[in-house]
Amino acid sequence: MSWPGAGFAAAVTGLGLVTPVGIGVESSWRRVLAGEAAGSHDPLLAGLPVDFSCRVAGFDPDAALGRSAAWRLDRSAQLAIVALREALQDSGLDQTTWDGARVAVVLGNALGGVQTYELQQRQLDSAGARAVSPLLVPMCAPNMVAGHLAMECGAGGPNLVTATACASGTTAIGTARDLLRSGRCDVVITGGAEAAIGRTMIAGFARMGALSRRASEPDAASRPFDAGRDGFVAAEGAAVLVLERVADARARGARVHGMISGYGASADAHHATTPDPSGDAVERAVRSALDDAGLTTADVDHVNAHGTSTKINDATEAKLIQRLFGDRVAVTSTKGVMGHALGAAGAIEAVCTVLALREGVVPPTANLETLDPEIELDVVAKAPRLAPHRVAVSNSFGFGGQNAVLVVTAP
Amino acid sequence: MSNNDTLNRLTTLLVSHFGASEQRVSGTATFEELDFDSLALVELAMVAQKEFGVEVDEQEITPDQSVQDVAELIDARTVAA
Repeated sequence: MSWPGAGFAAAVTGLGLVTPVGIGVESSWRRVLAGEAAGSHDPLLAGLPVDFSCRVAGFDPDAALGRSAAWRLDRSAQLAIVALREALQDSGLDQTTWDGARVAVVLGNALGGVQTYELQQRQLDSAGARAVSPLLVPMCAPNMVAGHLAMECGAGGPNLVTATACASGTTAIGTARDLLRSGRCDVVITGGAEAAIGRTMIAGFARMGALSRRASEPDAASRPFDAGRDGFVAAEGAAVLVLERVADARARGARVHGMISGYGASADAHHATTPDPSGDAVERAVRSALDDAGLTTADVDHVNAHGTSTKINDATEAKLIQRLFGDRVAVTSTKGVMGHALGAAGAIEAVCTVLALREGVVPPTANLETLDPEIELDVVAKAPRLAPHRVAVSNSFGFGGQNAVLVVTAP
Repeated sequence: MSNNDTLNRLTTLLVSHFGASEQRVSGTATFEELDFDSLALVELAMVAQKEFGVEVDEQEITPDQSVQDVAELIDARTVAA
């Protein structure tokens, strides 16, 4: 144990998911276990070098939230509110009787309301300043999604958004747990939300060479750890987790899905977009998360990898996992099914990790047909694997060299 | 009096774009009663301008005005144009 707080576990008492493979935890999880990938051609990206993505199919904001609320919200907030409602209902917490001042919100988001921004930029260019919506600023500021969750449920405690690019959701959950441990709140609503599949943004990601070009088979494009992988597939979604102190959860008889038992973070201090090939900073994050949980590498059974399906991430991450755990841990990347939901990804994966331990099953890495010969890991592929695991690590790494790692344990 | 066509089109816009309750929207309902805040009123000026092809300044629509008042404003502009 490296510091006095070691061993603090936050009980996960509520889960909510809105993902490219389902609106709701059960429907999403079923598709994740089946390894059914979501990638498809995207009419909004027509004509671009990369014209496919993983959107939340069938999401109707007017039906879900009512038109009077929906028109004022960026899609990231719309997705987050729907995930929040599911998580709160699941938690059994009663918003009419709780002390809202003791309820915090910490949500991860990477790119704010860029779809709204892109649309309004086109309005400005084509019709002038008077055609720009007065809702532009509140719709696209990245902090707003946490504000909207507070408004939705009356959470009046500390409220913030964490932005660590593709690690944002993981950073949020780690920060939420720290907040709970600090005593500044009694309940934390945490997770991540992202809806950044805008034409300009996708063109930018494509120019970086970060995106898969497998346009002929969009549902086979996200293939983490596969020899034929060639980039990530942009996704959107939201995940919300309700965290409470274990004693509080037990006292009210809440169902505990799992525990967030450790958190570690580090910076590569290396390059804006290329991970440090040494993996040293990531190793530091993993080791500090395990220290924080009072555990060691020998305790870990399962790793939910960052596994983006880019050449460089998967190679660097695999080497690090091998170095820390050997081939003894069951590794998966749920991005094979869902694509990469950027600031929501870590939160979606935290939910998947909680479910994997609760249900005793590791989901397969979709589209993994031929393991990259450079990778010497036990990556679960083709079918879910039944395994009564107790301890898992969930990795997330963001552009900027920002690394965040959670230790999740079975309830 | 605004003509009925303008009032109907405005009412439809309030429901379809802003999600105002169909039960509550009427010529006599004020924007305050319809829960329009200041940003929604600016958006309304913008959307109405596009829908009716007339210039409506954002300061011209106030919370205490009724739907009928705004329909009349639009009609006056339409005639002037």
